[in-house]
Amino acid sequence: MSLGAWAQGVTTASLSGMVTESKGETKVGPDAASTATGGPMPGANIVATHLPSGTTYGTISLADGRYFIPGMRIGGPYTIKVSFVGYKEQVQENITLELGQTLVLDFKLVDDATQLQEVTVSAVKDPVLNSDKMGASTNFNVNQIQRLPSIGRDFRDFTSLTPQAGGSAFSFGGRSNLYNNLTIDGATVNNVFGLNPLPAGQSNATPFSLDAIQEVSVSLSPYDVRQGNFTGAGISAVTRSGNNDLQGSAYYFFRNESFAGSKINGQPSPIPSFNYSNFGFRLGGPIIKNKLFFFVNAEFEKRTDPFYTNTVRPNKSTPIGSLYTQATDDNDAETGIAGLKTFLTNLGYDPGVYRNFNRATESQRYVMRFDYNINQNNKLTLRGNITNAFQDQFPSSSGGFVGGPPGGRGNSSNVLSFSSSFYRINNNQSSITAELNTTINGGKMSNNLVIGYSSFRDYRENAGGLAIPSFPLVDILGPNGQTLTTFGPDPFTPNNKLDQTVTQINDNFNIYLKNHQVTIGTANELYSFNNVFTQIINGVYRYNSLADFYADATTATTAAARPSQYTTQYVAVQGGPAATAAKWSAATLGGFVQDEYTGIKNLKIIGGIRMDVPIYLTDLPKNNYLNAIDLNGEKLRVGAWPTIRPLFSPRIGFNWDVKGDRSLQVRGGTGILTGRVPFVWLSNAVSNNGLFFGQFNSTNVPFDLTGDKLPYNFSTTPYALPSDAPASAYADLGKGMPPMITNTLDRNYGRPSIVPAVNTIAKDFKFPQVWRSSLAVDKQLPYGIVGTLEFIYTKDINAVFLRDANLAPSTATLNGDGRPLYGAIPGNANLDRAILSNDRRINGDIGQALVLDNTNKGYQWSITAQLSKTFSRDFSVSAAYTYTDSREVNPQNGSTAGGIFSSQASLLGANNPGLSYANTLTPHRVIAYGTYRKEYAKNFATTVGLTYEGRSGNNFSYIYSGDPNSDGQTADLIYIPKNASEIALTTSSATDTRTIAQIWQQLDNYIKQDDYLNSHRGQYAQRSGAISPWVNRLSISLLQDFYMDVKGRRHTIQISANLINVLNLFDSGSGLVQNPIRASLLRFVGYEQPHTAGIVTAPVATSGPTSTIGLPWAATTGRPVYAFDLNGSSPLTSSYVPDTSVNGRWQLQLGVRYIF
Amino acid sequence: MKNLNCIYVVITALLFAATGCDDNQSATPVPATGPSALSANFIFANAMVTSSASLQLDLLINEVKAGNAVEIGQGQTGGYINVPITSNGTFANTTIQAIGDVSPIGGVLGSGKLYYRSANNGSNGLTATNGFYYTVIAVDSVSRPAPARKLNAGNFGDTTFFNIATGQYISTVDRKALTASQKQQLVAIGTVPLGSTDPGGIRFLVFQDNQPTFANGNTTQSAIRFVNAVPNSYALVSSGSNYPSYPAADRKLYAKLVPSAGSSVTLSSGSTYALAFSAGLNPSVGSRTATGSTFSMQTTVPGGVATTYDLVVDTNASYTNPVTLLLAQTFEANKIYTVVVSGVIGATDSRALKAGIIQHN
Repeated sequence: MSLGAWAQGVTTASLSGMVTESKGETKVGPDAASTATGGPMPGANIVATHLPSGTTYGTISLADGRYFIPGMRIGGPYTIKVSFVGYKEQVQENITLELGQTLVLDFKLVDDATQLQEVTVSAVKDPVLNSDKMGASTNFNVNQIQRLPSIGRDFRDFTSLTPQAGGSAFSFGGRSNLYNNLTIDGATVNNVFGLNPLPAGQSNATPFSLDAIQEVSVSLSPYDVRQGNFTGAGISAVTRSGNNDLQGSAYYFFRNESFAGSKINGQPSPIPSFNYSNFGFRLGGPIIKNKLFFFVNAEFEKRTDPFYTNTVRPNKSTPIGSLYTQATDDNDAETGIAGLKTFLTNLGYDPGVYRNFNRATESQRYVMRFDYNINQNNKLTLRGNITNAFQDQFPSSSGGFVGGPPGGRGNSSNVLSFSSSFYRINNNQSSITAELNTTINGGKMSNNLVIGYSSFRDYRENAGGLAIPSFPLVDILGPNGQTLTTFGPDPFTPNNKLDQTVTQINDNFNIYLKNHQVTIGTANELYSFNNVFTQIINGVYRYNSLADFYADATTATTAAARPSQYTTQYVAVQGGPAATAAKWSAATLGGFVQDEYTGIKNLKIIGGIRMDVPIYLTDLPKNNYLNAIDLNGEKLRVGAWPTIRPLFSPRIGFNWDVKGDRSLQVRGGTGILTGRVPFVWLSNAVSNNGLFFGQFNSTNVPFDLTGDKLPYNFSTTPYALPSDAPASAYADLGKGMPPMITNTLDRNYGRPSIVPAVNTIAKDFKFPQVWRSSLAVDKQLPYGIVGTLEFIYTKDINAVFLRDANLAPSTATLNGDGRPLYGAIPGNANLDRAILSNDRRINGDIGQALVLDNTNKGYQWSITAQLSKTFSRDFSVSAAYTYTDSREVNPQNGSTAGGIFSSQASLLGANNPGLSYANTLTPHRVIAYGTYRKEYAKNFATTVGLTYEGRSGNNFSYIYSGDPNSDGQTADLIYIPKNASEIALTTSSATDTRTIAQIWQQLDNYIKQDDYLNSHRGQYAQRSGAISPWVNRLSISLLQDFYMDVKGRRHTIQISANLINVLNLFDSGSGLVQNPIRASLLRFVGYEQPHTAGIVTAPVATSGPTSTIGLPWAATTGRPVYAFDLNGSSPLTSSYVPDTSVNGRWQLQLGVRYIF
Repeated sequence: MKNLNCIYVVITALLFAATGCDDNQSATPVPATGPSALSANFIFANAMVTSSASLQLDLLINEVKAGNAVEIGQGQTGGYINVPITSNGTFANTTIQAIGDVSPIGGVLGSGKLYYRSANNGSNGLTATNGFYYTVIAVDSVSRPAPARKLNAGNFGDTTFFNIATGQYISTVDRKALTASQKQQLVAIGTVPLGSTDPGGIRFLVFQDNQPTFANGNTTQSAIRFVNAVPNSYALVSSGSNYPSYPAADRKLYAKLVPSAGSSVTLSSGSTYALAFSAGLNPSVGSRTATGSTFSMQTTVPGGVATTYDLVVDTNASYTNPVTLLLAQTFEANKIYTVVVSGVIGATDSRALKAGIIQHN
């Protein structure tokens, strides 16, 4: 375990130190004036040789005796030689350098005349107790990567061993995983668009092979201003290099369902069959000895799972069992669907199959690297990598602009969807990096130049890699009102692709002066995006029965023959392609200057300032119609970028060797980090501008049965504006005018087409910035144990905040609760454009007007206690405990701005979510790991690796199902009642036989057994305030080597077993992850009195033969009434249920490897 | 060393200056302070059809027993029972259930309880309004089968039928297989709705009685409402190709009160217990509900102890084959009644036509 790391943008290591003359001796050097007894020795020659590759690095000690060798290959062993005429040469062997490390090696030279004088080398090699260490960081080298357990061969298995890491979501320090930055060999390979934190993440693939990696580091609080572009953590991986020896390995790993737990809590719980395999090889060696080296790695990973694991019975007489678990179909489902397939085939469309098809997950990864020692002063590295990955996916259950079909489209007990509606997500990524390290003027200066280019190509196909037909999606409901089947391509798949390129040029120039190392540099990234997304472009039909579909598809001219719902989006740019793209470019230009000062004894200080300037390179079309609307004094900025302004990141860090002997070290610093915003949130504003498309759906437009064949009758051709449509039906991008309604599908002629939501960016929006500070104490404890206590505090300066500019302020207070209440009329621009007095919208032409804005609210802090001990090169252990707190206003981890806005739980309303716990918070976490290797009996070696993670479960929000505060978002935090008087309860359904008193008793019992709820009675629940039970996860890896040394080369056959979640193997009730059964604890049923939000409604009169009774309610706002639903047929009595997926159980992976 | 300490102090100060916490924004909880003060009023009649002559039903509103057990063919006489409810006409959460007073109801359900549902495929109860009055009548046969919705993949629709000859409900029919005479015996009683969860058995008629109080002390008149709860009295369905009307004509039930002296009073000039697709008080197929929004006290009769009436019903307007269901019934002045006719036309066993009276005030 090593902790002395830089990370981001750093690919090499450095060597530094002081050369002094031996005390008590006198020698006149070339510069007599500078060579006092025991003093610094300038002009000494230092040569470091990386033995495996013969690469040499050289420098000469400066006037103060200091020397510095930057840009060195990580790994080793190195031999360091220090010489000076007239002095004995000093040699230090077996030096290993880790990523980003600046190893301090001090030398004392003695003159030739001094006989028998013991040569002493004071090499400070401890990775923690090192003057280089200031902020929090962790490193994992190639040995740990090989020896610690990992079942997915995923580098995140190691980065998660960072004490400050979160539970499982690749988050660090309680911040969103979208705020990390990942680099390989210094080049950004982060998924900067942010649909997933990692490239290939949507395909569930890792971006690079573990066998290609020399070292991975995680940096949380760097005070080196060279590091940027993250406010979470910088994760840096460096690939392996070739050496003078030809070395390689070939490997194969596999697992399947029989290598996993089949019980949960002692009860049989079989998992569906699957097959996983991973094979590959690596090879590295010389092209020209000591000069030019190569390394290649190729890896092929494949997994096959059944799509359907819980399937519809073919007919009513089929017994329910392990194969068929569906119980609600009461008809001959399969016959009907088989008939549908015949019907569609006759129609000329092949819907695919509806049973027994598999989900493919595959990835291929290639790395090639060349290291070229041009000369002693210039080292060039070229690296290219390719990752191609895909995964088949269930069709989305979303409806797009309207609700999705009841029962969804994917894997449920009702649905038998055709394979043509499943899709494949492809994530192809490639990058190439060139790095040149140059030493100038005998080591007095150095330069590091990195040029990188990364390309990401994400696109969709139909499942199985088939072409996407131009055909609508059709949902057909079954007798029970749930989806029976779906065919046609997934509504979000046609024309769905994302091309990203990231080009980067970084240069650092270092000057080594007396007591100063000055760095001047620049860091620039150019981003280019081409995002095509045309949801619902082929139309989505919904029918209540097969017969309805048949009738519509064959006799669409009758009024009765029509779908129960039809939704479509159509291209509104005249002559525009269906695949209208959000094509845009941006860049961040950065520069920095920094000084590392060592002029005070035992203290090292680093101080610098970095400037990043995000700029936007593409002019966007404006929507002048919407931008003219006044929203309570605010004008929208559809199509406008924020003002360009520089963002400054000053930082200062220190390392204080308190006693001068590295037995006690105090380190830390403070400074600002500037990161990227996930660009998809910006891209939402590029594409959701209300210009490119028109939409309509048949559920909220009047049917005009007098017209021609109506566009909502079934047609295999996607809807397009008719050829005789007037010009106003199209968008006028030049004038910024959206398409106007001209046809009979909408009541509001001359108004813009339906705009459910537009996205905009605030004028003064700034990229995320945090002020992060840390303070740590490292101490050498007895028995060679190193203890660390580290405190990190992060304050948001510019966090991302989303608000709906079209949401009217609250109009009242919710009676019986106390929270603000919004207008009763929903913001549905489709329905009615008139604004009523109790409308929750401000303007009726649009639904939601999201603004990407900033807030300075939000903070994180953590404290870590860590103990580590290295017994030998082959035996080390480490254990840490971390307490973390993290607060934020908006959750910062959604794949779209709208998704973040709609999913955040709030009390005061969607525009005022308030500061609460981050949903990426893991408050308590214990991490321990160790490796031990023993070689024995000449030909055998056994290696054991262990990891233990104990942590708080995932946090969540107790919310209402429904929208009692009427803000349009269904994530309202609950009030936790103290007693029955504080909540108006009702039965769940017409068949609920519980009395109100019984329902309260059940709710009260639930609250009593839930620690969070019981301790917060009388309060509103906090967002992400409840925490799932503690998780224990112990994993072990066992490597058995059989080796033979033949002609000086070792050949090894290695059998490996990785056992994840050992505790679950011995007890199927242990090692489980517990998830909340029902976070939406209470279901909002309605208001006790009509919700009028302060608006007086005239009493409804009814008439009878003799008199009239006016309705008795006054113009008041009713108390909300809630149902505490049963859990199936019995009361909900506990909060959590174990995760029964394979990831929650023990799993074993076997492997075999040949190494030479 | 002094400068070291200075640096340390400055950095530490910076660290902790940064720890000033943001306040969470919140509202002060103002929770409810007590149960709902809302209530509504219910009265009940048992008009179900069963061969078990002595089955008594209890009415439960929100699990609270409302009034006394009621015999088949009878109505409650003690007036409305006031029951707490939790919503004032805003959502359908008032549960209505019937339970056998001493034994399960039996029939196709065989269960102890029957539930009112306001929609065919939902689980909603009654949308009750504070202070309102409701009449609940249990109707239909305990043996009514659960209607089944077909996939419609073949050649028949989702139509449920009632066989007027046998008095039986038929869940699904293959129309192509029917003979002409068979068709003449079948009444199409509606399409089984999407997602229907009707389990069969008896259903409920629920009337919203908007004024069960006679205007200011009428000392001479009684008000009487007539409810035809006879399931084989029917109205034809004629709309849509999926709803074929095989029998030739409606079968209506005519009812009148024949006083001991003077002219008779017509309660109904032809009432059909329409099973589907007609307005009014109909339990549509697939649900066990009907909510009448009107309390049409169509008939007022001279009331008072001095006048008694016989109830006569027939299936033709001329009363050529009258059946007398009640004899010498007294209707008090300033009182409101509902007369419910139940049973099966043509039956001579315990399912024979009978009449019950609900006294509303």
